[in-house]
Amino acid sequence: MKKIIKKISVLILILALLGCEGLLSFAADSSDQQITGKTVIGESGNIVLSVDEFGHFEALNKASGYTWNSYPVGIENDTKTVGISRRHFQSELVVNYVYRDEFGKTSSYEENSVAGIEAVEGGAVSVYKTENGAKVVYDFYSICASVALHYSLNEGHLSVEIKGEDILEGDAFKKKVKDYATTEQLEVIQPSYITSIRVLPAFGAGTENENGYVFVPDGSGAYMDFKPTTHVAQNVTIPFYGPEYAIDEYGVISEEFASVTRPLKAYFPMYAIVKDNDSIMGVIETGEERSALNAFKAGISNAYTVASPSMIYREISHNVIGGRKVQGVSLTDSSFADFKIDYYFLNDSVDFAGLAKQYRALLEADERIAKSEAEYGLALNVIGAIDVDSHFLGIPCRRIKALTTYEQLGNIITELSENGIEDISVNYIGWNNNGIQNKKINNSFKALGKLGGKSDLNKLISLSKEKDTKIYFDADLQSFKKSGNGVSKLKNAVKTMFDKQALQRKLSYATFSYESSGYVLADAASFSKSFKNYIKTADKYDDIALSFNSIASRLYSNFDNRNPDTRTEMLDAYEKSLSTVKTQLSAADAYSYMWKYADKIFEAPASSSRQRIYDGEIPMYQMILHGYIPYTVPSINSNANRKELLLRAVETGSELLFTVMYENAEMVNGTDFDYLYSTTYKEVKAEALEMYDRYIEVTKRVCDATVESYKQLQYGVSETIYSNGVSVIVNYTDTEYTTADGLTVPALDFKHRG
Amino acid sequence: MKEKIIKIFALMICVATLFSLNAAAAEYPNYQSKSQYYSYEYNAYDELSEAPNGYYPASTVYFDNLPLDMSGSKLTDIFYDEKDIYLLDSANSRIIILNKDLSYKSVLNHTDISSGEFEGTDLSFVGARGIYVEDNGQILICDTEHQRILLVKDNVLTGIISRPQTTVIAEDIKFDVTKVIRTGANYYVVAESIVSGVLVFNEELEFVKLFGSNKVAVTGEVLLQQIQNLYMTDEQIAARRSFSASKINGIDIDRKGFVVVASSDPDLTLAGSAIRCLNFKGGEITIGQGSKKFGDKLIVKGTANAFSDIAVDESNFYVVFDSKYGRVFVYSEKGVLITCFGGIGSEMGLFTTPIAIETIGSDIVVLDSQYNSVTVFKLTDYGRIKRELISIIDGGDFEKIGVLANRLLKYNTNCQYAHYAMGFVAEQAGDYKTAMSFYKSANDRTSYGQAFKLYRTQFLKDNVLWVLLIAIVIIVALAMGISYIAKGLKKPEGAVYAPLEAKKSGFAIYCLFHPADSFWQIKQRKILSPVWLAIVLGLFVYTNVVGFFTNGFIHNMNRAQDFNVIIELAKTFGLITVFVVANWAICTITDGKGKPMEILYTAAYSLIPYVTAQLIKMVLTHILTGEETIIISIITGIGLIWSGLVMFVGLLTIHEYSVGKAVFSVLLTIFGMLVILLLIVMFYTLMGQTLSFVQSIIQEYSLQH
Repeated sequence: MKKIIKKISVLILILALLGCEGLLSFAADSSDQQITGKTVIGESGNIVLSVDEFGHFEALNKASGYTWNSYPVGIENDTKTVGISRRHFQSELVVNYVYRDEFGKTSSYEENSVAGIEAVEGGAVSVYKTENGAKVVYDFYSICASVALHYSLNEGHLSVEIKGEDILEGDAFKKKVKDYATTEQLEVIQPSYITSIRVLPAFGAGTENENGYVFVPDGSGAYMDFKPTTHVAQNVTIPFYGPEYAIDEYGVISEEFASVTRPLKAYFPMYAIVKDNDSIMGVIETGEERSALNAFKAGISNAYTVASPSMIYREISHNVIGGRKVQGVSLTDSSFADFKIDYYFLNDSVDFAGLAKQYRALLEADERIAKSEAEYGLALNVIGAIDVDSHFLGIPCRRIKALTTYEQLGNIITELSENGIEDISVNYIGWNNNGIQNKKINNSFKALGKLGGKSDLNKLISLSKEKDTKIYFDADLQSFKKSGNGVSKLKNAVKTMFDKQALQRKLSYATFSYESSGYVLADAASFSKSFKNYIKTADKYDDIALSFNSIASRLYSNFDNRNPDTRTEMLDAYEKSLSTVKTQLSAADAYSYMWKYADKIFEAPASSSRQRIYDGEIPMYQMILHGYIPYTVPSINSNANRKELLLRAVETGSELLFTVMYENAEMVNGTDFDYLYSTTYKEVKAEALEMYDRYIEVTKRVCDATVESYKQLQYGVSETIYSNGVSVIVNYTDTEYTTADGLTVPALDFKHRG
Repeated sequence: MKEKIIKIFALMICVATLFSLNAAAAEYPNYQSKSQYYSYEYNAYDELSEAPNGYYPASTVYFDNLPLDMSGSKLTDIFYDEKDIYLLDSANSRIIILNKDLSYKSVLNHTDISSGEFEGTDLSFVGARGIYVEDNGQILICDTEHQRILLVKDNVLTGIISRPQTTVIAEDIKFDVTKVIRTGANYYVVAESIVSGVLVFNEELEFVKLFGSNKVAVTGEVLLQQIQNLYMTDEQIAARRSFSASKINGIDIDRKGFVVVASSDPDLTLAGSAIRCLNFKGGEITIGQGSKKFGDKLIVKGTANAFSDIAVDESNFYVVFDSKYGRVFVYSEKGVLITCFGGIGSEMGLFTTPIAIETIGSDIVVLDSQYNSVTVFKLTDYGRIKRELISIIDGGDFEKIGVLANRLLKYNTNCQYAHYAMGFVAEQAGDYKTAMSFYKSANDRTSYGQAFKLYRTQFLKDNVLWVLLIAIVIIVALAMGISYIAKGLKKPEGAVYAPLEAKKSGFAIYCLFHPADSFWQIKQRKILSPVWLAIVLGLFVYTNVVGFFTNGFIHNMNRAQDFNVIIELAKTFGLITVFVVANWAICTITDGKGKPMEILYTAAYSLIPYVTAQLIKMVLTHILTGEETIIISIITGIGLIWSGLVMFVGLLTIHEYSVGKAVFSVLLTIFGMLVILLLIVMFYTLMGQTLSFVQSIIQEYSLQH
């Protein structure tokens, strides 16, 4: 007993000497066993995962017999992929960074990258076995930082995770490595800021010797086949949930002012690599709002076609202060740096509809979407009011111009109902506050006097119930131009990392210049407050439907030093607010975080951004949601080729959408809203009725079915087969098309079977 | 197992389908939403206006997949001869011939060409930059590197156009040919280093003349240099940069047989002569009206478009290509902009290194040399309607014009041409009032003036009695007014003052006719009327402000949204204040006797003719057409001169100056006003800079901490 007490005392003494921190780190490391050779670290479902001492892994799919390697086997001998591309593709992660000086400022202007292979070659990678997988720690002495990847197998899928707590930079890194780093390693230490971490850059990469394609969620969806181009390899980076709005002028203008990069948008956090014998689907479970997808197409200088996600740790931005060009990186909090991607092994090759089905199943299991039995009809975007430049006694000011009053909207609904249109749904935009563009923040469901006031609004709501029409009253609860309604422009506007209000201005693609005025965005707290007030006032009306187009399509951070919000926090604020809505809800151009809450989606993306590296586009967005959330095509009458958009609606099972105003659209000429140039209701009506008659015959048969198959029969001719057996063939070409079984589809037309 | 085989088979079919679809092209139907592909138009105020796409990128065809070894190839030009498409592969010294649908047809290597009568000639054309095919199938290759044009027919070299032996072109200038065309019996050749025009060669391939050179754009820099040259020695002049005419970059023949040329010099873009249509003598045929007619508006030198190539399509629309921004502008032969699209970027419809443009029927193809690809642009419904409307506008089928214009407006209410066409139809139908309304929407003042003239004639005819009656009333009122003033100015016998001279209320009128006497009396009798002061200054502001909005459309370029009360007050009250201060300041150093109030009254009273002329102008702008503007100019001119004279005599009188001194003091006053304005501007600039400096410091501080 005495001996035991003595032993315990010695142990306590040792522990006291080591200090708690040392104890904890010792405990953490000691729980994991270091791997020294290729080791099987887990088996789940059909997948057997093994990792070697360099952190390279293999995932064997026993069902298909195919082995997925963390990097392309044989890349060392590839003559095309050389230099930095090869090093990136040989690695399990690539860390992008900027150097920092002794004051903590960024000292390098360009963003650099370091590949995981560097740590491997420098012997600075440690691989540990964990409970159901492995942890690979990379120490990058050259940039004074450390990052770890966690691999685990769960229910047959592979999870790859970055935990914020594992990212060590600067002093934290030095402290960690001081005991085991060599003198040479410590000599090259140069502090840096990690900006992003690319995960598994070449996992599943396809080569020209394989058949298959990579699916990327750009817009409605696009794919790159494995066949390389014979010109310079290219790549694109597609941010999930769109660009960051709080960096200076988010539409990036090139140095020469000669080109402008339109912001790309990945609408949902899924991508896939489909091969002859097996396929993987990557779904980002955590941190997708701070991530982007990098898509590479094989070409002269790269033999691999692949996509991989990047976790954005810090935003980076440039500005000019006092005539000097400066660079900034956002402050970050590692508690918001968690990132997790799940790779699902599909055991076989899948077609596009198969991919959609797999992803839909995951969403359904996660209760993010649910089956819908909504009937398809005709959808309208109706423009209520706009504010325009005016003058009062010669003093310039803004004045509200009514374009569709509540009574006029009632007339539109009545007229269309009388013409036999059932299931009309309206997204009523700019119906309150200051019209389309807020002046003060919008925080109240309140009628606009110019549009008829409260009594007319009540009449409109009654009429919509009587006609069984769903009016979604849209509100932008994020943007404002002036302080008021409890939100201050000085305190509550989102700021850039240069401590300036992140002014959202319209960019002219002709002159590459921004308009002088714009609006700002509310921070997370102000947004939540405005939302709460808005819902409180909206609840006074019975059974009205709401729309939040801007929430659905605009996610941003706030880089205010005093009160920063990450995109994760902003998204949390959205989700918390949206979960309080009891009534029906719609959204336009909606990212996938909105799917859980939306009963209808207006203006679902109809195409991808059509990057040069894509080989085609796929309506994956629609294939996932069909039968679950009704959605529309983009506004038909805003398109220069309207018939093609009607065909796209039929092809993708979308509702028709027209944007209208009761007044003549000439009223928008010369205003900030001149993009509404084709929206005069009386001019649109006849065409809308005609198109409705043509398309409703087909879509009413399939509105609650899911897409079972989608294929292109030839260029410009596609066939969509639904779960109820109905097949729809759409012909975009200017010649008729006859199917193998003799069904003739005229040029620019469609036919259905079943 | 069977299921798996079926699945694999299905995938193979699927992938094979994808590959066959994309072997040479990425193609998409046009259901892309507007926001993803951007094109625009300009309004009459040179402002960008949103518009539907006139063309859409239908496909990008990569030639890497042709059944040829494409490694190292560099495509530099494309030509369509109404049958086949010819691609010039400059790096491999060959011509790739495609079918109209861009599928491969054949290849012509330089080794396939027999030198014919030019035995021993090296036929390699590596570095060639231009190609043209004559109606008889003869291919012209601009062999830029070797400074020659090769003429090849049926795989045989039939001729060579070489550097002309002429004194017109200096010996040290290279004959680096980039473009060639043939029309009639002549060949028209563009060489990069030769800026003095297009070289014309006859059928015998002999040099004939230089043709259609660009004029030196008259810029401020050029004028300054011309003035400085007057004071320089010949050596100095020779040593400095000289302004020569700009080179021609693109050339084509339009459907009427005229030669159209494009130049990439930004000076010419700004001067509005970057694109020119030339007759066979080299004389210019005007395309459209007005300056800055081509390219993007409201941009300054350095950012102006550079038009490097031009092609004319089957309906005689000019397609010009701006290599600076990678944009394509499509104009009618009258200079009406159909649409503008394109750009530099990685999306379909944008380019990386665009190098040449060609038309295939109504389609436009842009050759991108970096990717050995062409992007094919097809007309959208909107573009098709607009072009058709422009094509038939002079044809006289007004019903069809009306239908098309109406359809165009359904697509785009911003489209000014549609408004113009509607106005045109209404004018032809005799409905001048409606026509005026449409022309007003189209911002077309010339057509509005024509319709207004017809409307006015019709109105006068229909209301002749009323018009006569009103004219009589005006004449009688004028006569009575003149008679009243005449009487008021005449001193009754025995009276000390004339009636207008006697009272404050009429004294301002008296000043206009007897300024020397009256302003002297102002000093002596202190006969000042604050009411008149208020009325005149009020009317001065009123005519400026109200005139801004209410002057007739033909004579008024203002828009309500451009009105700024601060500027208008500065132009009226501000100007008077600065004048009074400057004049009073000057009079203190030139021994003037006038007091500030006297100067103010002098200024105000002397403004009466000007203000009256402005009031008359306000009425006349609603009655007179653009051609009759001279009447308005005469009336306002009289008002201005009268006011000037009265003011001059008034200042002379109140300051008790001699004429010479008065002139001197007026000049000094103008100078003083400029100094005051300069000080105000400097003050604001300094304040702005100080503010910006403080902001920078605060920003730096907040970023550091």
